[in-house]
Amino acid sequence: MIRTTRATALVLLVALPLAACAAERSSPEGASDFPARTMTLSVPFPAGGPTDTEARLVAQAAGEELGQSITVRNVEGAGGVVLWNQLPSMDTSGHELVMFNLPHILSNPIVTDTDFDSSSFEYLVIQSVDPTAFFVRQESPFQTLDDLMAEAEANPGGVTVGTAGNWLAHHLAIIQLQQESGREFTHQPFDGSAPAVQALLGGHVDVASGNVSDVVRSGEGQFRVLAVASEERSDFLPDAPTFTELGYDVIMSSDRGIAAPAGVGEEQLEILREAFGNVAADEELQEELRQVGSDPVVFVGSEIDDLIAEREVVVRTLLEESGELSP
Amino acid sequence: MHIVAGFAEVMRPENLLIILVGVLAGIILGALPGLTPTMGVAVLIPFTFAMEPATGLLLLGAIYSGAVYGGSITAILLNIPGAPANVATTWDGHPMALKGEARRAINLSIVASVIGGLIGCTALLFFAPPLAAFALTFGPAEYFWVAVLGLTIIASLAPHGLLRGLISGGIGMFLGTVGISVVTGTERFTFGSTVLSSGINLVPAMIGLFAISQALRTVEDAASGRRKASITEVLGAGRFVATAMETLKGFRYWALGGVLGTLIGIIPGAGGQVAGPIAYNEARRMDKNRAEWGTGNPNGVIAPEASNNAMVGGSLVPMLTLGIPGSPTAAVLMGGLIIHGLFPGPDLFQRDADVAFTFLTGMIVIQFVLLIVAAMGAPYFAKVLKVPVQYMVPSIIALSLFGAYAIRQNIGDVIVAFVIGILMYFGSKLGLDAASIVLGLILGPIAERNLVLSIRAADASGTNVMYFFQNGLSLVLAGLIVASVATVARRHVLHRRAEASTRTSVDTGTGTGTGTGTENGTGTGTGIGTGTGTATAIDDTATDTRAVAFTKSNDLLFGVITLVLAVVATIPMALVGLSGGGWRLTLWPIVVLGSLALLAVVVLLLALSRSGDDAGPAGQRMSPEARTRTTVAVVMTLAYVVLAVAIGFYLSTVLYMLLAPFLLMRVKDAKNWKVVLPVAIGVTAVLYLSFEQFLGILVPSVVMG
Repeated sequence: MIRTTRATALVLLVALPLAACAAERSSPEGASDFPARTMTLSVPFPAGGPTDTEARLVAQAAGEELGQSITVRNVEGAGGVVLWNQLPSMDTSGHELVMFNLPHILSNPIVTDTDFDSSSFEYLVIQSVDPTAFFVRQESPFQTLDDLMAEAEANPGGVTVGTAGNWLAHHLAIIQLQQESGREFTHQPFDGSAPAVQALLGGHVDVASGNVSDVVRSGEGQFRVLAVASEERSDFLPDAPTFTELGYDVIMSSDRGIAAPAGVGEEQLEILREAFGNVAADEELQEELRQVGSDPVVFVGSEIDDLIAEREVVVRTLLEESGELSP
Repeated sequence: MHIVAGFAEVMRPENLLIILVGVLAGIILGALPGLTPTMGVAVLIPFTFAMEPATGLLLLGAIYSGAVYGGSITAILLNIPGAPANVATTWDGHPMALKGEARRAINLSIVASVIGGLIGCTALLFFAPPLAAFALTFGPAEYFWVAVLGLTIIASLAPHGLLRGLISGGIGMFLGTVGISVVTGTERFTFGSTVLSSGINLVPAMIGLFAISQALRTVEDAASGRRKASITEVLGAGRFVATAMETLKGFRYWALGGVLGTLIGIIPGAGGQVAGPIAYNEARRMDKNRAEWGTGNPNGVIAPEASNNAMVGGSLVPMLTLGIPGSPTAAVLMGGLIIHGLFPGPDLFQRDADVAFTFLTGMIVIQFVLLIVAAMGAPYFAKVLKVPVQYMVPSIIALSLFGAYAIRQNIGDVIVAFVIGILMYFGSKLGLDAASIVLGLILGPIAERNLVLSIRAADASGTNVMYFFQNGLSLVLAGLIVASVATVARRHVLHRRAEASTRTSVDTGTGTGTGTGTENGTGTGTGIGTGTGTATAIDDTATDTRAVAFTKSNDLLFGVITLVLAVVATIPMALVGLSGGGWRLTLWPIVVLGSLALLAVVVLLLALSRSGDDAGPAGQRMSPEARTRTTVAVVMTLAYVVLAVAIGFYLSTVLYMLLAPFLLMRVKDAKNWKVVLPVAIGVTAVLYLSFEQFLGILVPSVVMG
């Protein structure tokens, strides 16, 4: 019994201060002392991927800017839907933020029954773009995009294109190219970019449609980039032509940004927008982003709303005209 | 040269300290169900920002290695695998614990893990480039065959017979189809529910299948006085050195496990989680004493544990050489590399040779540190068994709640875990097998995705069926599947013959003489449970030793439930098909559900062909006392989840931990408050510290508003 009593005392010693900590957290918070506690930034994709890496870099810098640490958590699954479906029920004090990816947040609500759409977000910043690129392995017979298009013409549906999954930028770029050229490809969706790159290197798909950062992250030497779907050549791949140069109007990218759930107060949003805007514009962070294969940009405020409205039209039209939306 | 320099770097005191801390933290994380190696590595990445790249990587590698080992501790002691990789360790590890050999089993798993880890890391250090080339030969067809090969394990391991094993596996595969389709990106079997559209994630499913159902079973066992005394009394005087020598002598088992684990780890996305089961199956196949497997055979611990730790080194091969991670944890590690500006890929070893070789030699040093830390910790791990049931059970349930939430911070996963846990508790009475369900859940989606990708690739290339057999590798894999099926079939034919002869003798004895014409004709299940429960011990049928005889009514109930499930679940797929939906969405579910329905019909026919009903083994019947306690346990478990959602995790945990010991057990003594109160507060405090403070996971709580 004595031993038990001693154990009790010990446990209480540990537990009481904890209870005190917990109580402290419950104190009401106004906008003046915002942010009042540790914040979270949720990432819709697995740890280690490009979105996650970027989130961790931004979270660290923004945490310093806001004077509170920001914890990154991974809420992965169903191409981001698992996280974004939580938006309507999220804490709207401004302490819970999410990463969002374009065009994912636009295509998902069109394709499946989601609990969110583009109006469920209060956009704070878009800090990077990652253009879509078509690339092959070094051993591939396709030296140029023309070679690929010639094969697709000679053999409709005979060219397989691997991607990281359905309804991502990489899939939409294939649809764009099909609509532009009238050719037909066989889309092979894998479970993330790593398996898609692996299938490409093993010769199990003819070409991969992926991010420029996939090429950079897995080592450029293994690939030959046929075309990049950006308006101007990518800084990472200055030798790779754009689709536009080659005569196809294919513009597609995965853009990454940070948002709060709709419903966060305007005062808190002001503080967050300013902080994340400053962070995204910071030279040091931009250099870190470049190092991990992301191309830094700074979109804030109404620029984002315009961009999203514009992309939403593009994505919807593409999907509706593609005929891939089976009932 | 690089190796020597790398080794010198690793031996710097601060690096050794980091390795020690990492291994220790990894073991603890790994041992707790719901906290996976992947999560452990992800949580620590930010801490590595401030470190030298090599030091940061050593920390992550140490956590990874420690966590993969740690999962075996709870697998052995509690029959709850700490992570998916340790499922196979429960099969012989836990029976050893039940026999009072917990310490010996733990020691075996330590040594086997270290040997396996060394095999994997040596392969990584010396043979990475050729092994990476091997990984690339796996395309959709090969992945499909690997998944099917994994699924044949279900048939050969099933503890309650072939039919129940296959049905369990089928249910696992069906659960794997719920949510957003892996192939089309559209929803299936979600019925508009957000909980279901997130899919059945592996970790919450495992928590339900193993932790929660095992906790409920423990209540039942304790209430009916069936909980083995040996567990709480004798822990086995496991002398470490002696056991280490014993492990080393099991050369065939650790070598096979180590090599298989390395190879499986190298194939990205094939599910490193199945390295354990595959090694277990192959090791058992080559053992003459097959019948002893599943009853606490030391080799049944050595093979899977060597295998899953070898998988660690293997999974780093394609990550470092090609930039393609071989496991989810390797993916996180790759993120850690990139953040430090180290790009994996073919030229990593030239460009950043110093860091790369420090990491690689460090991984080998880590295995030795793991050996020392685990061997020193072993006596303390085993003490877990001394925790009285009335505290053990509620603690497991509380940890399950937090663990299920932590994986994706999704309340839906908690609901999934608890619903599956309670269903599994009842299902296990009908002969459902948790490990088979898990294998189905892991391998089903891999099989589906690659089947559809293969069909599309075959169409695109015009190779048709030949696509599945177009190279040596796919032929070898298909051959292995045939061999695996043939082994199972042969065993069952032998089994049935032996049974038929037993039955004839029983029949002639009683003089009833039913159906002499059925000799080899109908079915596996017929003989089971008929006569006087004669255990037909054929060397070749390991299944028998673990088999529980099921009564006719039990068979009927099991068959009807399975059939109804299969038919009802087919309706939404049929509707999709009728409305012109794509075959890519419906093909696999229809194959799975069709097979389930077929198996259920076989179960029913066999049950109906049995003469008369018969009493089950005495062990299956529950005393009124046990029935009450078990009902209370199930209701309390449900109430706990509801309460957790309503008033927050911490408050409900304190309340639950306060009430559970009194309600679950016949604890009358009021003096017990002196233990119950501190335990309740202590467990909640530990959960708070580890989740909120260490892992940074904010669980729902009223305090947070």
